[in-house]
Amino acid sequence: MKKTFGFLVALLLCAAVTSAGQRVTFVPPLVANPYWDVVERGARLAAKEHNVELDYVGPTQLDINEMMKYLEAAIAQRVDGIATMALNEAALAPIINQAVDAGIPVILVDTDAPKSRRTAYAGTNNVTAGRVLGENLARIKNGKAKIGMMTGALDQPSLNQRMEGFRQAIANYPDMVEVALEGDNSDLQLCIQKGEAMLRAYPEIDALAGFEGFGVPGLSRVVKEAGKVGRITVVGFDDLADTFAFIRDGIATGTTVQRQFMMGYLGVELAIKAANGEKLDSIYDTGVMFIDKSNIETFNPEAK
Amino acid sequence: MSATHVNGSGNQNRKLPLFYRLIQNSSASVLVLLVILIVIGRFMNSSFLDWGNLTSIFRSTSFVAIIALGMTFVFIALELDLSVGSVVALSGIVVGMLLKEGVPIPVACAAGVLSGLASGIVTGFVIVHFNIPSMIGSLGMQFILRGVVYVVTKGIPLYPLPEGFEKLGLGSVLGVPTPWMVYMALALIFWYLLKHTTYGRAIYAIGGNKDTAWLCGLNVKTLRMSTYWITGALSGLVGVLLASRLSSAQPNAGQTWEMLVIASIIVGGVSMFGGVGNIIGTVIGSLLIGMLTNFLVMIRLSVYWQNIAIGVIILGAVIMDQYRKTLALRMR
Repeated sequence: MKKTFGFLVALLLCAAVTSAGQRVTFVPPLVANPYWDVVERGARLAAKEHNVELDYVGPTQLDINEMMKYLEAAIAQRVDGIATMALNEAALAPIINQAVDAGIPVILVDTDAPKSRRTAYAGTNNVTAGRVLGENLARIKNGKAKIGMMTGALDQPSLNQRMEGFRQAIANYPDMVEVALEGDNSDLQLCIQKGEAMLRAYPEIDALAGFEGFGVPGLSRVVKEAGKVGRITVVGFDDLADTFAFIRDGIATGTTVQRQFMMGYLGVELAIKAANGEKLDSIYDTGVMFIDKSNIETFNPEAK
Repeated sequence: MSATHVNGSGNQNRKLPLFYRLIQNSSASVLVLLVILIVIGRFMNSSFLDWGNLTSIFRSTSFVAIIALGMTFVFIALELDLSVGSVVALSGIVVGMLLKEGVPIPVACAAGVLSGLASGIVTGFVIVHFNIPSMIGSLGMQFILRGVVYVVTKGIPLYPLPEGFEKLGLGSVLGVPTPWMVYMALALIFWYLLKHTTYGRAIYAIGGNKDTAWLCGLNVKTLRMSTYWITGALSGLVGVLLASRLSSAQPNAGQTWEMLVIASIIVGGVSMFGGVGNIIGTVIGSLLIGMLTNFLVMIRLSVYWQNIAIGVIILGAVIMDQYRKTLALRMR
């Protein structure tokens, strides 16, 4: 009896909230995680600005079934919009389509599911990100460098797109030359091992670019242990804790980071725009930022 | 292989006792391949044999090579341990967490090795007492231990670790990388253990024929389990050395290393069918496999071709060994 009463009250409250404004459910693959915490703050800002009710709910450990439960609940509650991340395209596509069929727009952030009928995607365009790194390296080296590149697994699409953009950028500078390419399977030990060998095999290298997250920490260790700090420029991607430490210490020069705050912000904003009948693009690039010593202390991951 | 060629070699060998001895020795063919690769490496890149490059090879090779010492015992006893890579990660995380709690470095390191030993004890117990195939038993442990690491760390590396800890993996003794010194000492100990003790003989015996070994009064169950204790403890030690070398504990440390370890010992002449193998072969095999990463970069082979080259060299090593055995057999 008590339960039924509570349920009724909850239902009434829901109705009250719904009538007051629109509601968006945001389902991240992880809550209480440093990366996704920034996404959440972006989502909350957009919710405040657009005056919508935001449910930010997700599992504490990567768990596709938990994510699906939250998404199903959101569909059952007939929220006005859903934002989530396609942790697994095959598993999530049916439920994304189900929401869209029920008239609820679905915005994907960070990771797209192009085979689903999702409304729009907001995330990093890795080709653009690679181009930003290439342009910055050209600026740092005054358009003249012999570059050793370290990627992760050879078949990882995001890394190949980053390299594609990087090569497009350096192609504009005749003296920016790619000397060598190695792959470390996203393994820090292998990155160091191959980085050491690369510097010996290609002594002309004066810049190292890492394309996966371990690139900057691994290649910085190589340059430091070889006693070549200052002679070899290290740049790369992502923001692992030691990546920032190596930039602060002056061993690495800079890193290209994603703007996940914008992913959270756009996730909510686009959902509400779609719910209000606005026509959306299919893909939104949230952009990247190049972090070096000049802006690392003032770097605000939550800048819009 | 033509018969005349084999006979020709056979006749030659009576004049050349050294060649005969080489053919009889199980490490000979992989040693020949190792020398060939070193010569190619030196020819393609004059700095291949520089001391700086050799220390780089030694340091990075010692991690997989230390585990291969233990895996030699496991294979000779006709067992299989696929959990070693996960033990490396687990031990690294144990050390990292204890160091972050302010535990003194030697205590944390000992705890890392003990966590490896404990994992080995569990793996051995599960396989021997429940009588399940070692491949499945140790595969299960591989998943469980890697899972524990991910649950504890949520996939985030432990960093930074206290200053001074990195000396173990990154330091040198008399110009030689510390991990390689540790490896050489261990190789000597395990060579003696396998070749000159009754324990070593017992390991060969249970790998040759478990029933006969049992009838001879050997405690087969304990002996079988003991091989997992060795791989466990050695993998634990490697976890400590690796965390020190990377000055961070990485949740994905040691992933797929079981395959590198197995390749090292098979190339070194250890049999997949138990009862055959020795530490000298394992050391040479480990050097060969460990050198490949550096070798392929140094000869400037495109990264897209490297996997093919690794496969060809591993196959080449095993085919050469098979050829050597046939030759040795014909010469009797």
